[in-house]
Amino acid sequence: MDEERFEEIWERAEAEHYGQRLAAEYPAWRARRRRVASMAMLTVAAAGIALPLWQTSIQPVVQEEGYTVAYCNRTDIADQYWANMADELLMNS
Amino acid sequence: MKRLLLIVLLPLALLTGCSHEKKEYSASELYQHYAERENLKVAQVDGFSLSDSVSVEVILMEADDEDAWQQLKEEFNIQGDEGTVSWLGDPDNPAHRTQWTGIPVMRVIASIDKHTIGIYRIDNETQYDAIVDYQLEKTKKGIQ
Repeated sequence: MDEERFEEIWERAEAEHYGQRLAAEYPAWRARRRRVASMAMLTVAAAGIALPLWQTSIQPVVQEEGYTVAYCNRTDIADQYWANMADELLMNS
Repeated sequence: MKRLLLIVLLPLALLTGCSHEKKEYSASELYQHYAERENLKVAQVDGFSLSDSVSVEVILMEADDEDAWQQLKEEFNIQGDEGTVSWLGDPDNPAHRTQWTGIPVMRVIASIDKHTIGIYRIDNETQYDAIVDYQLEKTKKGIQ
């Protein structure tokens, strides 16, 4: 993730009252945000002089299906069942 | 003589120190740990996609009955009777709450209503960010 994306996440987390939880779980979260913000200012100052080097493209590495069920202790459950559960748990937390 | 003692005792001390190192579960070991229980459905999902370039390993569990759920609740120290709880857990003991300091952790999410638990292994900051991003993006889509 590039710094610009991090800045977007930060703003959305703050807007959705998620920021406090992140700060509790990740003590360096706020310090990182300050670092990113000051880097962004430096980038603006350096605009026209140098290209931001971190904006290199990243090739997708995730498989097309988006998951692989490696093991399951029951034979009668479809793989998609588990992928849906992983998605729902993240979405509802 | 002192030097000889040092040569003998130092490796011993180091070995003793090593033996007290925490056991860190890999995803498959964690899977094995729970899969043998008869009243639990358990799966290990590899490469669960969070974005175009980031994926994580996930262990998922679903209790078959109330007894199995009560046992999980006790093991994971889950309080309350409804909703969802989430915390960062130690890789050697996902029930133990911790913070992200740059070393691997587990994002543990328990749905009390559905009697399910998901354990997402986070090895680096990119995965940590991607999980937050995924949650916020999904929440945003859910609201729209």
